[in-house]
Amino acid sequence: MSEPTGEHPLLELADLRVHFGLRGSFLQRMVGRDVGAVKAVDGVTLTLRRGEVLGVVGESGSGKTTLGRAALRTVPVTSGSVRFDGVDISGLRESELRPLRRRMQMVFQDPNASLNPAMTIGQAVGHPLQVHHIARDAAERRDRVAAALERVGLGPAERYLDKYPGDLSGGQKQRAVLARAVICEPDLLVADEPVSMLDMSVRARILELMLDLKRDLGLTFLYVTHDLATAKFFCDTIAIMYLGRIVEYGPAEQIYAEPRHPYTQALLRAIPEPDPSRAVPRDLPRGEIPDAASPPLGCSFHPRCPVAFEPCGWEGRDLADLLERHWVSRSPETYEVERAAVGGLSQLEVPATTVRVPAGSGRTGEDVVSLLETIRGESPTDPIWRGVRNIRPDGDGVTVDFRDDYVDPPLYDVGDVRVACLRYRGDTAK
Amino acid sequence: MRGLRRVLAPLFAARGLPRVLLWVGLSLTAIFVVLAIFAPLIAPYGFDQYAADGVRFPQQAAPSIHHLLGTTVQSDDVLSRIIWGARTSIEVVLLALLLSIAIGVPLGLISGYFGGWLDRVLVLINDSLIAFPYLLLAIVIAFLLQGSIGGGVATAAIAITVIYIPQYFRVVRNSVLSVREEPYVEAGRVIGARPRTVIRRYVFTNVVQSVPVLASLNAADAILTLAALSFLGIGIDPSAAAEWGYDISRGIDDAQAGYWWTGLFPGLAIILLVTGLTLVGESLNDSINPLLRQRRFTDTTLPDAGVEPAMAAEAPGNAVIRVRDLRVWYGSERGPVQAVDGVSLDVRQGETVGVVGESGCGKSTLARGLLGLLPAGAVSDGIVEFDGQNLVTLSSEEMRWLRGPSLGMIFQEPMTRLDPLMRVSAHFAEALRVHQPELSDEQVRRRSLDALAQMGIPPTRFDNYPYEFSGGMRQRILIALTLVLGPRFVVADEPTTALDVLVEAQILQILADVKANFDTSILFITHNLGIVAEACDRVAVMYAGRIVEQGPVSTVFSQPQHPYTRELLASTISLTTTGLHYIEGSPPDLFSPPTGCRFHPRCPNVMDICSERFPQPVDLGGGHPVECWLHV
Repeated sequence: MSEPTGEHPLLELADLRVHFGLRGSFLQRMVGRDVGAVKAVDGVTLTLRRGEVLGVVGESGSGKTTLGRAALRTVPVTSGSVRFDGVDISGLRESELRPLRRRMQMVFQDPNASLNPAMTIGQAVGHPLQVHHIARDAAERRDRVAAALERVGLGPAERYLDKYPGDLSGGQKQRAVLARAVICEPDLLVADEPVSMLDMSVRARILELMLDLKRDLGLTFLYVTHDLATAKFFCDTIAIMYLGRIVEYGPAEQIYAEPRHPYTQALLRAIPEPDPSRAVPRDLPRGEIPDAASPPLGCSFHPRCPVAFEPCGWEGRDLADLLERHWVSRSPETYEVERAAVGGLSQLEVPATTVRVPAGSGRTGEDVVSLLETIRGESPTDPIWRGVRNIRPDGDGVTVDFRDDYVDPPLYDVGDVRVACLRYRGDTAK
Repeated sequence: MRGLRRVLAPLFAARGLPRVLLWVGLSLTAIFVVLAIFAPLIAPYGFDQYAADGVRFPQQAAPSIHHLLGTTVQSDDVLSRIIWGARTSIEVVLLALLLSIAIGVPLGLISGYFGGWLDRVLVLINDSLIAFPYLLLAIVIAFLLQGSIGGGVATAAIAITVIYIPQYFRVVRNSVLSVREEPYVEAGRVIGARPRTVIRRYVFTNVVQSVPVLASLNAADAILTLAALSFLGIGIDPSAAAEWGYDISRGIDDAQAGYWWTGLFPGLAIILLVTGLTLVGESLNDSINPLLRQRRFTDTTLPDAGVEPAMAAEAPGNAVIRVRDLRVWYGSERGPVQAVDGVSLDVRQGETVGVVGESGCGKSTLARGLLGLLPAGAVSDGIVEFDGQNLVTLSSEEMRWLRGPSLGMIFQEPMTRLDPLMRVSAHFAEALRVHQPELSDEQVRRRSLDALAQMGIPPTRFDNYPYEFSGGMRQRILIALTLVLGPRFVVADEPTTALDVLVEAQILQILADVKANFDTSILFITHNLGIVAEACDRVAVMYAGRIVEQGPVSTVFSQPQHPYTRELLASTISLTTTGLHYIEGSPPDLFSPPTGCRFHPRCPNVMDICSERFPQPVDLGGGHPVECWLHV
């Protein structure tokens, strides 16, 4: 184990993947059938310099929480590396990680659940000292706990040492959690949504406290959040995550001043402003983050993207989605008539660029074609049509060919920012 | 020790009948424990002593001054056998419980915490043991042991132990499974504690509460099992110790011959001790089980109205719901808590009114109070006028019929409000059939599909199960379920708090459409002022059970008049925020709110009068009442 040298970045993740195997049914396990994996983190590379605050931002299901856990190695790493102060910890055993733990700590989302209800505040905050044999005796431990509590604004410490978590308010609990996290003077602090469960009235207090701790203790932060508004106050660098990947990564000022990825733009526009003159934005992306067990082809964001175009990865599930969206706008009567023209939709629910739409019983491929053409006529600008090469009837159904030259966008360099969006593909050469 | 006291404290806080039952149980148990400990001093004779001073006792003598409970056919003194029998029972039970706890609890901890193949093997063994008839199991073990170590207390105890190990294993393992996912256990690992330290300090201390309850109930059961074994002649060897079950088996013939005392008294001893232990166990369960704990505080008395009647923002337009001086309070360990303390509010046709405030200010209680959805033990008074009736005075049955077709509620957690085993279509059929039984199947289907389409749920998904939808879609389904009956007034309690920003924006848009298309009146509970600005027409700011300011959103947000409103607005973090601001302190305990204006301890504009007198509500014009001394 090397000593801190300060030469390396504090944290380097290289092509990190964390996949969780799906268990499947008893029978599937008996016959040893592979039921796939949820790719919670799927190839993330990032660097965290000493003293930097990096915001990892995304919706639930983006993999941001798993990324934070993997950085601390509390979840196993599938592939890639996690270098903490130059040492690759991705393959270390728990017993080898233990001495490193005092240098990397974590703050959790729910202050009500992250303190042991059976420990007093004094015991909880002082336990890391005991675990790492830092204090010489109980008296020294008590002094250090008191100092930590007062540092986070829980003073005089005597009032809190013997209280149980249940006696404290949410904000006070989160401060105690911060005291526990910093008592061993760590280098890295992973803060997983530390203010999102707190009242608005105390969020600023906790953010301010974390900024104080960063300044006084030289902490480096990985700030995991869904909220770009709090991240704006706190972060030097922002990494926007979507379905296990980073889709935009760069200095915070730039990301806020000129968001480039359509997803980043949408996240920023969706934040409610306490300004009654602003109406709810009407043109936000539809839908939600898809299942990470079978991500969309090409760019993961394309099914929700308002500016998606030809090479984004159009496929069968996008067509199923289009049909469903079309039927939402129809009266139940029209829906029933149109639905009868088409057979089972399950053949569309596959990540493939050639899919077959079966005709309903007694109907022909021509009926399906005419339904699809009706839909195209009503929404000719829907981006999906840019990905359709061919619709041809084949007896009792229709075969739809999408472009098969789609691209899964890597991160393109655009100025100081990196963006995983095909609209920036040409900029790479510059 | 302090932890134990914390666990047991509510036990001794019990009042009324539960307290009586607890003390009866404790006394009964204590009597037998004293008999067991001091048997050599208390019992007149030895357990198998049939003579004293060389004189044999009479056989089957009725209770008399010499033998208070009579004698048996072998001239044994019944009273002495009862007392020595108590010692045997307590010894066996103690030994059996200690052994089964000492084995079952650690196995459960390890199995639950580490999981994996060890867990699967242990669970399999455990399930097989539980599936086996337990008395038969004990008999087999007792037989096997009698051959090797004889028929003493140890044999009986081990035979019983085997029955109870699986119970501790199962209870402890299952609570470990839920506790080990708690962030505080993860925190234990993150600080670098070894697995055994994590188990001992973070897991064990939080699962151990279930053990005393199980132990006291098992103790009662063990007495019966021991008696049954001895009754069958395979428990305690009669030459080793006195045992009530054995005595009962011998007393059966006596009873037929009229010698009732030899069987009756051992039987009574069993009943009394088992009753005592069961009462203690049930009382422990009542005090430890949080689900049962709430029930105790149903005794609420009406507190005095110490504050000014509130003022509603009366303005032109027809109020769908008129709330006047609504108060809601509920019992707590320390007394009545005044969660809503004199709230007046109108919600007009097609209007969305936001209710904001920090947590603990009574927002959710107000929401539930309006719809008669208060938990047991809560009491309300005042006026909630809807459709010409006062909802506060309606019975829960009458309220139930109004909820659905007239009053709707949208909750925060969409998953918990849908039955996982029912298709979406079945949820709609149920909701519609209850209130409109005359609808045909086709009408039910049409109306459901219409409501779902309004919410953007495609008709192709009508027969899917709740788990097949994402969180945002479930919330849309719930909104559709609420609106399909066409309620005029809907309470939405933090409907977007559990959702991501993009999904939140989608839901807000849907609610805006609903208001526009159906003229529905919505009371929108939220802690997020940004959402109020985007989704509401008027806003009511709630603090410590009172509405301290209400008015049109544009007025209140541009010229907030109450310092609390100003502070809340300043502490909202959005993209346009330029500086961090927070409110010192936290909302008061509604058990004893501050005197005068309740916000005065945190108020930046506090004056002398603020702590002395409650501010009179003042209408600033344009339907904008404020409760603050700055405006009086």
